[in-house]
Amino acid sequence: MYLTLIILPLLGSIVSGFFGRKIGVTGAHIITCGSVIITTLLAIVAFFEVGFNNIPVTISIARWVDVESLYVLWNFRFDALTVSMLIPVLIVSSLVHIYSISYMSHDPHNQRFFSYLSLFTFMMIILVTGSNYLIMFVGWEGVGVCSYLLVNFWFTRIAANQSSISALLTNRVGDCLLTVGMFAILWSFGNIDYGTVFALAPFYNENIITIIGICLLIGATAKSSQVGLHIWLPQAMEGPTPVSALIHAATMVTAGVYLLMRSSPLIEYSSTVLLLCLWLGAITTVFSSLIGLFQQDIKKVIAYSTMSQLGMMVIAIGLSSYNLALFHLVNHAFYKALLFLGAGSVIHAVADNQDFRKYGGLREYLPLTYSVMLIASLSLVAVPFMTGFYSKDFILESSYGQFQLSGTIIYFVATIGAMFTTLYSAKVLYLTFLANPNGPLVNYKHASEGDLFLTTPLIILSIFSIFFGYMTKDIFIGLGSGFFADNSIFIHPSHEIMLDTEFAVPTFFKLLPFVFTVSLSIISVLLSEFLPKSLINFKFSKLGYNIFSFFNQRFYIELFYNKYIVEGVLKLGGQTTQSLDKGSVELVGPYGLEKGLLSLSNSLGKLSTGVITTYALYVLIGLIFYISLLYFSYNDNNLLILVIFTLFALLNTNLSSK
Amino acid sequence: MSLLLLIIPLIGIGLVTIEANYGLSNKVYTVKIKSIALITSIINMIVSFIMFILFDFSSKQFQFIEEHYQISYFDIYLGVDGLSIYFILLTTIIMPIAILSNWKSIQSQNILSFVVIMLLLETLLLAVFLVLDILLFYIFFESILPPLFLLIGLFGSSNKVRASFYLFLYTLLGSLFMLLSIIVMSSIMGTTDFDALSKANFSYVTQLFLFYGIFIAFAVKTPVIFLNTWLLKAHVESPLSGSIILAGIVLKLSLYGIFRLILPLLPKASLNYTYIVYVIGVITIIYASFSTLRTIDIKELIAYSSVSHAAVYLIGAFSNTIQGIEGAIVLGLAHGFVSPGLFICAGGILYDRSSTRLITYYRGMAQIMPIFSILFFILCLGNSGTPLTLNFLGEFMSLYGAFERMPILGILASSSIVLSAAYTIFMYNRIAFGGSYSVYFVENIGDVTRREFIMLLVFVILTVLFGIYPAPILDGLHYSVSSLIYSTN
Repeated sequence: MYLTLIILPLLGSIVSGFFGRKIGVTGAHIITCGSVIITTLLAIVAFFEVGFNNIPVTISIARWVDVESLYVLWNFRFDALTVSMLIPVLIVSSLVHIYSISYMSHDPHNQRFFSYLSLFTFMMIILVTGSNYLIMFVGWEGVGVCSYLLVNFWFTRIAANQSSISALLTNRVGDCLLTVGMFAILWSFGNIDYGTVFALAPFYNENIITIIGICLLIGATAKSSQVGLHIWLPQAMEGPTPVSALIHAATMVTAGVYLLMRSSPLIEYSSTVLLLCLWLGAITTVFSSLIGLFQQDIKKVIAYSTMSQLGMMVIAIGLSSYNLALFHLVNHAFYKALLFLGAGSVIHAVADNQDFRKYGGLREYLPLTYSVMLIASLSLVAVPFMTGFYSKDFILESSYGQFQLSGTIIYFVATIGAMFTTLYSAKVLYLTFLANPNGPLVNYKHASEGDLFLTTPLIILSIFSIFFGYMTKDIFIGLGSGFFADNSIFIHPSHEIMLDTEFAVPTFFKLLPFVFTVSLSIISVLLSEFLPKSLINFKFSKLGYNIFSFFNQRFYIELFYNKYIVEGVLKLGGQTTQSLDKGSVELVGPYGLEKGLLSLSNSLGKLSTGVITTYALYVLIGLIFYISLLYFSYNDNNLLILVIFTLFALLNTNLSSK
Repeated sequence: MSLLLLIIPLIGIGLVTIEANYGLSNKVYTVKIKSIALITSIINMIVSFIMFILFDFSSKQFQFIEEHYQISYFDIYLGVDGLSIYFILLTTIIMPIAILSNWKSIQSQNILSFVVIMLLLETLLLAVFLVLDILLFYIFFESILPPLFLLIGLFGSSNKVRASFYLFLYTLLGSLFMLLSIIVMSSIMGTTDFDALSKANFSYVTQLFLFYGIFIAFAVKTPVIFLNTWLLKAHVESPLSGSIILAGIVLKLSLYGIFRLILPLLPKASLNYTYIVYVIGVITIIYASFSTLRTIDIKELIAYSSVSHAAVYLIGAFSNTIQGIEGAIVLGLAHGFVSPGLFICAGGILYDRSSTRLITYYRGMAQIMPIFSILFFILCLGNSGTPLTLNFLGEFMSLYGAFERMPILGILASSSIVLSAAYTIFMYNRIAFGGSYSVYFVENIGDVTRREFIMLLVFVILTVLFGIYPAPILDGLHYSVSSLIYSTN
C-alpha cells in the first residue's frame, strides 16, 4: 500500500504525459484524477494506521549511492510527520486535479497540464516520504522543476517565462546552500540518513550544528519564501490559478517548513538557529503583509498572505513548537487553497481579469464563491472557532508564552502582521464582492458560477476550513497528545512552552490579536464605505504617494536584485566572454603568437639589407660577442647568443621603421 | 579481447575502402559505406559490453592483458582496469551515435573520408584508454589530433581553418610539457611501463616538476580558464560528429590521464598542489558559467558549459576522497552522455532545420517540436544537475569531495549548482519557450526524425537510468579508485 501511495501519481503522470494522444483529454482526466484520489484515500488510511497507532513504516527499495561512507538507499519512511504532511498535500492536490478539469477545459494541452500536476504531486510525496536528506532533495528539486513547468505552462507568454525562471533560480540558490548543508552533515556525521543524523545530534558540537542549521534554514528560506529569497512567490502567480492553489498554498512552499520540522532533532541543539528562525519568520510576516496591503492583483495579495503565514510557521519553529508549525501548515493549506481556488473562480467568471480594482459587486453573481471566500478569509484572519484560529492564535500566544525578550517582541511584531493580514483580507473581500461594480459591463454579462467540477472542491475545502482545526486540534497540539510519540518531531524538554502558553499567558494578551482583528476589519470597512474621500485624498498627498509606491513596489527589493545582482552578473559575463576570451586571451595567445612570429620573421628578413657594410657590422658584432662570451660565462651558452641576436634584430626593425 | 577492440575499426576501414574503390554498384555506395561503418562500431560496442560482463570487478589487477614485445623498438602492452573500462564503454557507445549524427549532412563524395576518420578516431581513442605504457599513452593522446584536425578542416563550417589551427596549437603546446615529463620519468626509472612506474617513488622535487609538466597538458585538454579558446572554436566550427567526440570523449582524456599519470605516480605533488588545482578549478567554474550566460551561439554555449562541468570533475578528481574521485568519473561519464545529447539537439536537429546557431533566432520551439522539446528538456535538466540524472550524482559527489578536502573552495565551487541551472534554463527557455514560433522561419519545420529520436533517446535513457540506479558504475569503480588513494601494496 505504501509503495502504491508513492508510485501511483507518477504512473498517472507518465500515462497522461507520454500517451496523451492515445488516451485523449477525458482519459487523461480520469487516469490522473483517479490515481491521485486513490493515493489520497491511501494516505488517509496511512494517517490512521501510522499516525494514530504510532507505527512508523519504512520501505526499502534499492541502493542508490554506495560509495565508501556515503551510503544512500532508496528508502521511504512514513511516520507521524510524514502522514500529517501527506494529508494536506494529497487532499489539496486531488481537489486541484478535479478543479482543473473545469478550469482548464478550454486549454488545448490538458494532458500535458495534468501530467505536470501529477508529476508535481509525485515529487511532493517523494519529498515528504524520503528517509534521508538526499531523497528529500530529489523531491525538493523535483517540485522546483515541476513548478517551473507549471508556472510556465502557457509558455508563449514572456511574463510566465520570466516568473518561472525566477522561481527556479531563486530556489536554486536555496538548493545550493542546502547541498552545502548536506555536505556538512555528511562530513560531520558520516551519513545523511535521518535516523543516524538525529540519533547523533545531541553529542555534537553546537557550532557544527549551527552551521548545518543555517544552511538548512537558507534552503528553507528559498523554498518557503522567507524575506531575502521571497521574490519568486508573488511572481509565480503568472501561472494558472489551480497551480497557484496547489504549489503556492499547500505544497511546495511548505517544503521549507517541512525541512525544518523534519530536522527538529538537529536544530533543537542550536539556539542560534532557533533564534534566527524566530526573527526571520517575524520579519517575513510583517514585511509581506505590509506589501500585501498595497497590491492590486488578487492573486498577488493571496501570495503575500501565504508568505505571511509561512512566516508564522517559521516563528513557531523558532519557538521550538514544531507540532504547532505543522498544525498551522495543515490548516493553512486548506484555507489558502480555498482562497486561491475561490480567486480562480472569480477570475474565471470575469474574463481572466486579476486586478480587483476592476471587480466589485460580484456577490450577486457569485454567491457560492463569495461564501467560500468569506469562510477562507475568516479562517485566515483567525476568527474564533474557524480552522485558522486554532493554530494562528496559538502561535501568537506561544511567542508570548516563551517569556523571553525576543519572544515578547515577536508577539507584538506578529500581531501587527496579523493585523495587516486582516486589513487586506477585508479589502479583497470588500472590493471584489461588496463594493460598487467597477469593471466593464461585458465582464458582468458572463459572470456566473462554474460547473460541478469547479464548485465541489470549493465546498469540500470550505468544510475543511471551518471544521478541520476544531477536529484535529487535540491531535496535533493537544496537551499530552501521543501523536508524535514516534519521535518524528523532537522538542527539547527545556524548550517546551506548551504549558506556559496554555496556562500562564494573561487573558489580555490572548485576546489582543482577536480584538485587533475585529476592530480593524470593522474600521476598514467603515472607512471605505463612509469616508472614501479622505483615503483618496491621503493617497494623492506627497507623503501618501511615496508610502504607497514604496510598499507597492515591494520595498524595491526586486529592483535591487535586478539592477545590481542580475545585471552585474550579466555584465561581468559579457566582459569575460567578449573582452577576455575573445579579446585579451586571443591577443596573448594564438592570435598574438601568429602576428608576433610574422613580424619577427619580417624583421629578421630585413636584416639582409644587401649593403656590404651592414654585413660587416654583423660579422664584427657577432665575433665580438662570441669571443667575449667565453670570458663572461664558463658555459658555452648558445642560447644566450640567440637571444642577443633576436634583440638585435628587433632593434634593427625599430631603426629601419624610423 | 582488448586488441580486438582496436582492430575491429581498422578492419572496418579496410572494408569501407574496398567497398568504395571496388564496390559493384555506384548508387547504394554511400549508404553501404555508412552502414558498414555503423555496423563496425556497433560490433565494437558489443565487444566492449562482453568485456564489461566478463570483467572481474573484485580485482585491481589489469585484465584482458595483451603483451606483444619487441615489435620494432617498442612493446605493445594493453590492459583494462576498473577505471578504464568505463571510459572504453563511453567511447564505444558514443562512436556509433557520432557516425549516425552526420548520416545525412555529409556529401556523398566526402563520405569515405568521413567514415575513415571516424573509425580511425575510434581506434585511437580506445588505444589511449587501453595502453599501459605512458609513452604509448602520450603517442595516442596526441595521435587523435590529426584525425580531428582533418575532421574539422574538411567538414567544418565557415571558420574551420582557424579552429583546426587553434586545436593544434593549444594541445601541442600543452603536450610538449607532458612529453618532457614522460622523458624524465623514463630516464629516471628506465621504463615507461605504467605498472612498473606505479611501484616507483620519485623524489619530492622531481614530482613537483613532473606535476607541472603533466598538469599543463591536462589543463589544456580539460580545459581550464584562459586555455579554453581552442575548445570553443573547435566545437563551434566542427561538424556535429566532431563536437560529439570532442565533448563526449576527448575532454575525458584529461580526466583519465589524471588517474593514470598524476594520482598514482605523483602522490606527494598532487596532494601538495591540490590548492592550485582547486583555485584554478573554482575560478574556471565561475568564469565559464558567467561567460555561458552571455553567449548567444548555442554550440559555443554548450561548449562553455562543458568547461564549467569539466572544472567540477577536475576538482573532484583531486579531492583525495573516494567520493570525490568516483564523483569525478561519474560526472565525466554523465557529461559524456548529456553534452553530446545537447550538441545533437542544438548543432544537429535545430541547425539542420534552420541553418543558424544563434539563439536569438529561436523561440517557441515547443510548439512545433514537442518531442524534441521533451528530450531536450531532460538533457537540460541533466546539464543543470537535477536529481535523478547521473550528472546530479557526479556533481554531488565531486563537490562533496571538494568540500571535504577544502571547505571554503568547495562551497565556492558549489556555486556551480546555481550557475549551471541559470545558464541551462536560460538557454532552454529561449529556445523552446519564450513566445510563439519565430517569424524568421518561412517554412514549417518538422519534429525529430526516427534517427534523431533514437540518438537522443539513448542519451536520455542512459542519463536517467544510471541517475536512479548508479550501482553498475559505482560498484565497478570501488576497487580501482581505492587503490588509487590508499596504498594496497
